[in-house]
Parts: sequence; structure tokens; C-alpha cells
Amino acid sequence: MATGYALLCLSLVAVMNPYSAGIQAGTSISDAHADEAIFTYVRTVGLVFLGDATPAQFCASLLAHSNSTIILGGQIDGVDCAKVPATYEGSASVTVSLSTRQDTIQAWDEEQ
Amino acid sequence: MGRRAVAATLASVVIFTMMLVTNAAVYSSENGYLASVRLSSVQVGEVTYASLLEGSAAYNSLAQTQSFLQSTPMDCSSLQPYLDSISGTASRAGTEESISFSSMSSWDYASAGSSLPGTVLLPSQLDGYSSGELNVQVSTVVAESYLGGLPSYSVRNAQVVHLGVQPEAVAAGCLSALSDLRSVLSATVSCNSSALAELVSLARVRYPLLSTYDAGASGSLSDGRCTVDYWVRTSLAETGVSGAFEWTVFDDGSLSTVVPPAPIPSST
Repeated sequence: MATGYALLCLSLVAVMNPYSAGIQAGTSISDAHADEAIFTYVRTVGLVFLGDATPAQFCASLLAHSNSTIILGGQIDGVDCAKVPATYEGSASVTVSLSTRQDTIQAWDEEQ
Repeated sequence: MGRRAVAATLASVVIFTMMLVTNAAVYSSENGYLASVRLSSVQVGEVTYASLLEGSAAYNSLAQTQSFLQSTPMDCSSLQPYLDSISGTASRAGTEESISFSSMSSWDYASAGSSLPGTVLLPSQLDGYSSGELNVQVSTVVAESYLGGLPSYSVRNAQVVHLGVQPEAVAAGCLSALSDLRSVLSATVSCNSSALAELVSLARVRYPLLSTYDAGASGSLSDGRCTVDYWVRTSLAETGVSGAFEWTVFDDGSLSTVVPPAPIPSST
């Protein structure tokens, strides 16, 4: 009976794993970092640039504003310049609608 | 032996129960932390995405205004009705990263000085109120919710942005050019088209402002009076929110003048 009770307790501990919640919280924080990186990028380059840029200019801008922790990518006018890193903690994606076109900006918070 | 077995059983029960209770406490704490982190990040996401929607509404209002200027020449003598016709509405709805949103915006010409803020997403050449330029007031209502429920966020925002176009100055220049042309044409002694064309050319040489306009005149003679219809028109190179564009302004007028009778050739 004691063995059965011990096995029950161990099973409950395995199910109620606080470690997974901690990992999910870390991912949520990284998602928020990626989100903030996108809005920082939009504030930096401005909507006029996003409305006028050619796909080449847009992709070059995303690359220029990426760094060792945040990778930026996106799609514009059917051109995809998203380079998803092999591993990352969190990600975000925002679509900006300007006049007749939509720019999608993505960000990945790379794994530390 | 029996007592030892019971004691061992009780000890293991207590130990495992303590372990389970401790784990449950940590689990609950971590889940509470996770819920707080998710709530906080969703709330921040809603606020920042709303600001992006407001900025997009301001951008689109300027783009629509630019499109109106490109497609609709301005009659310089009807400036206010022209400016009052600059207005529009737009709405959007969708889902972005599990945030359901709806955005409704309206804009119109802002005639008076305004202390309303602009948007940080547009450059200073377009942001905020600029005296003498074409100012547009944009009102935006944004409503968001996470997965259709909580947290939700709604905001009503009013902002002013502008195009680097000076309608009042342009209209004043246009009216001045028309006045210059009239002053020359009013002295016409002939109602025929070539004479009037010469006077138009003379006026464009005499008045530098008029020289920047296309101009023309035509006459019709009736009961000894010549009715001269004249016009000026120009296309201005402007810079808008989406690149350069041309804005056409024009005006016209009419005058009536007595034309001296043609001299009777003398006979010898």
C-alpha cells in the first residue's frame, strides 16, 4: 500500500511539473521580446519607408536592424525575406496595412 | 518488526505527502507566474498594436488625401469647398497573433490650429499640425481582445497630420496670376484670337508669377463689346506620403470691354 501511495505521489509530481510552466513563461517572455523588437523596428524606419520601400530595400532594412539576439524577417509584395533561425526562444509576427499593400514583419528571439 | 514496518510506512507516507504538497505549491506558483507573464505580454501587445493601427490610419488618411489632390484639380476661387471635401472613413478588422482587432477611422481637413498630437510612426515632415499646410485630423477607434475574450483593450484617439502642401498660399498665387492676366487683357483693342494671344504672351513676360502658369484667352464680339474669357492653370510638383505627385490648380474669369470700331480706309 505504501508502494502504491508512493507511485501515486510520484505520478502526480510528474504530471504537475513546475519546470514546464517555467519554460512556457520563458517562451512567453521571449515572444514579448520579439514583439517589442518589431514595434521598435517600425518606429525606427517609419511607416513612410514601409509604404514606399521596394522588396530589396525592405529586406536589406530588416537585415540591418537584426542583431545577435533578434532576427528580423518579413514578406512584402510576395517577396519573402524571412530567415527563420534554426533555434529560437520566441517569435512574433505583425502585418502592417498601408494604402494598397501589406508588409509582414517577423522577429525571432534567438535561443541564449 | 510489525511496529518498524508501520513506522516505515508512516514515514514514507509523510515524506511523499510533503513532497507532493511542496511540488503542488511550486507548480501553483509557476503557473501563477506563467499566467501573469502571459497576461502582461498580451496587454502590452494590445497597446502597442493599437498604436500601430492608429499610425496606419494616419498614414492612410494622408495617402487618400494625396490621391484626392492628384485626381481633383483645385479651382482657386473655391478654396474652402475644395478643402472641406477632403474627408473619408476606413475600417479594418482581423486577428493578429491571437489578438482580434477592429479599427475604424475617419478624417477631414483641419482648418484651425490644433494641439492634438501626431504619430511617432510618421516623419516630422508629415507629423502634427503645420500652419499654412494641408492639415488632416484623424479620429480612430480601436477595439481588441485576446482570443475573443480577456484581456481586452479599446481606445479612441484623435491626431493631426499634414501634407507639405500650402493650399492657401497656392490659391492666393493663382488668383494673383489671374488678376495679372486680366489687367493686361482689359486693355485689349481687338477681340480676335491672335491679338488676345499676343496679350497673353505679353502678360506672361511682364508678370513673373504668371509666367509659371499656362494661360489663355478667347474673345467673342457682340454689339460692339468684346467678351474675353481667360484662364490660368498650373501643375505643382509636391511631395506626399507616398512619393512625389502633381497637384493641378486653375482659375478662370471673364471681362467685357468696348472695342474701338475698325478705322474706315480713306479714299483718294
